[in-house]
Amino acid sequence: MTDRFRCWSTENILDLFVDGRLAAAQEARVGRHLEACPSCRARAEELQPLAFKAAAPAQAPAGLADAILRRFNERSTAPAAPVWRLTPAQAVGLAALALLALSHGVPGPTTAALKPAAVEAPR
Amino acid sequence: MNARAVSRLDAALEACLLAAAFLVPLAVHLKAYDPYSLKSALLCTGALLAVGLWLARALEAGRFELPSSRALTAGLAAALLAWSMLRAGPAADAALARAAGPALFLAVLLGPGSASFARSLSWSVLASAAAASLYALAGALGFDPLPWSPRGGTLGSGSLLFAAQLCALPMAWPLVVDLEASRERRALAWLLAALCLAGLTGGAASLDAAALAAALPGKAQAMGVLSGLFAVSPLMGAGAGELSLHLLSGLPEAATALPMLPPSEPLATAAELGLPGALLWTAMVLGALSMALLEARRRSGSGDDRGAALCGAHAASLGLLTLAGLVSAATYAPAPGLWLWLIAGSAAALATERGSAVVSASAVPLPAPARRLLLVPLGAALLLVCALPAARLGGQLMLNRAAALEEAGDPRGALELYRTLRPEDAAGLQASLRAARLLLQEDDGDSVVQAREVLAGAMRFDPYFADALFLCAEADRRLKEWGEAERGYALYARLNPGDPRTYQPLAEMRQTLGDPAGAVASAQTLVRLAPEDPEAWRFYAETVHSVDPAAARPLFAKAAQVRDLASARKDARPLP
Repeated sequence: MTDRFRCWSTENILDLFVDGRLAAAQEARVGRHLEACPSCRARAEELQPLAFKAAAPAQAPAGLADAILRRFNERSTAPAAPVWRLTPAQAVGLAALALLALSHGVPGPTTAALKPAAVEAPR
Repeated sequence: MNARAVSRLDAALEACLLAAAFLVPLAVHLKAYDPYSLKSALLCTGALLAVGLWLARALEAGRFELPSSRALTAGLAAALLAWSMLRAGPAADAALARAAGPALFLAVLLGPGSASFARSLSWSVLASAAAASLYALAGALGFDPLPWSPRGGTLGSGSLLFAAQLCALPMAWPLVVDLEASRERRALAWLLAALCLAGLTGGAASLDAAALAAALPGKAQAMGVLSGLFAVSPLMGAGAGELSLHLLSGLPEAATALPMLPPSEPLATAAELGLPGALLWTAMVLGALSMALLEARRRSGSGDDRGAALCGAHAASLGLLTLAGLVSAATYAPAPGLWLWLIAGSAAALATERGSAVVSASAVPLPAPARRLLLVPLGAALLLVCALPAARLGGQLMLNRAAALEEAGDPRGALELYRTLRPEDAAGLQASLRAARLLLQEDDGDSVVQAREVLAGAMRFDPYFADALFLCAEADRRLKEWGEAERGYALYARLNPGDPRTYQPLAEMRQTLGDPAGAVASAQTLVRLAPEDPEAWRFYAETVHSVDPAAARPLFAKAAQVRDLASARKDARPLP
């Protein structure tokens, strides 16, 4: 059971280990576990970036570099994104404001006073 | 781990924080008495949602990540958050509002805190401040679109609006000088900055020196309460969220000034959370400020002008807001307080961005389906806690509805609604007060007994609720419980020595209980506080007459003189 928990724990941070983003002490602990656990070690090898895998370098198709440069030039001359495109945060904020505005339409007494009822002196 | 789900939760957390920064300063609800209740509710809900999204993200990813470069800063914030929660007072929703600040700081620091978030936050703050400024300017010109004219527009007071513009203006700088942004975006940033400047200038022009000077005694009294609370418990503090209750109930004069003059920070934190809370607050805010300044210098030196402008703007904003909070106490209010913590968190994140890729990860030792199941109790717990600020807002709405019924001439209906509110917060206390006042207007014994019970309930929650003390003494007097009445009036007089209305009934009680010297002393205080009131002088003369008729003769003459002066003043007033 302990080994299973240890494997679950390691699996959840394996991508950080492979990317070299773990703090030194933790990286050493994970490294030691990988040496002892074949399944976690296999999982880590699957997560390795392609460049590190022992394989023959792939052959790029002809004209790839020219095609990429052509697309890059097209994008740089394309018109910039419109200013009014909303991000998720802006959409949430505006939607919430609209909801607030609607809530003022619900029937009920409004108050013209700034002070809360609390500050009225007793008669 | 579902990487797409993690990415969506990251985006949702960022959207939540930015939406809160934009929305809270602008949110108003005309059906509640307190202009800050909705803002406070949104602040608490936003903070809880941010914490919930961060936890959900960690559960989905299967780990809690702590960037190594941010460990110390996060530790300070976590300590302040934990201390705030441990020191929560009986007003749970107010305590939640106090804990929301460090929670937001942590959510930014451990979540989306980065240069791109800082830029987005600058836009949110600037847009919100510009909209608030536009509304305030429209109101000043007589085009108020809402049937409500607060002095500070949607912020609720002139000083808060001023502080908000002061904070937002530096945030415009990195947006207008950003050469990588389109011309339209830079023009928009200029426009928003111009609106903020117009609001700042208008706010400065509308500052009334005489009104500010007149509010200083209230401010001094509020500071006195702060110092008193701190002196009583310097290490533990009065409790998170307790301060607003003490200020409202202990000092009615200060309470009238409360919307304009909330307590100063970090003094309010010192009073509520003691010395540990104040030290942590100061370390976090000043730490973020100095870190941002150093990072601005470093980035400028390495040629990263965009980043340097962002860091510098955050530092300037944070500094101005902290100063405003010290002088005008702006950061105790929900909206500028929210900005303080978000900007501080973003500044700290910017300063520690280098090296934040290396993390200490605490894995959640469960498989993915089990981790997802945990989201259900997490969501339920958050909904439950979100009910606290919602209940407070609901209390405000009920109080408003009941007060409207009372003013429309339906005291029975109003009484029923007042009694639905429990005296556990400001709205509940005031509902008890108004219910007691309605009951005392009826002249039968049963109503007076009921009024007494209602007031006793309010004072069980807050024993120094001044207005309730006074009404309680009135009720005891009507029930002929002279000793209780005398004690109630005397306690009220000790809490509010400048209020003349208690001294006449206090003198009458003392006379009834056979303490003529005490009665004379109270009557003397009355004329000292109201020297131009002929009735006060007459009462003083009659009280002295019961002890020493000879000494009373010149006092009767004085009463007649004051009455004649008062009549002459009335006659001399020009006719309209």
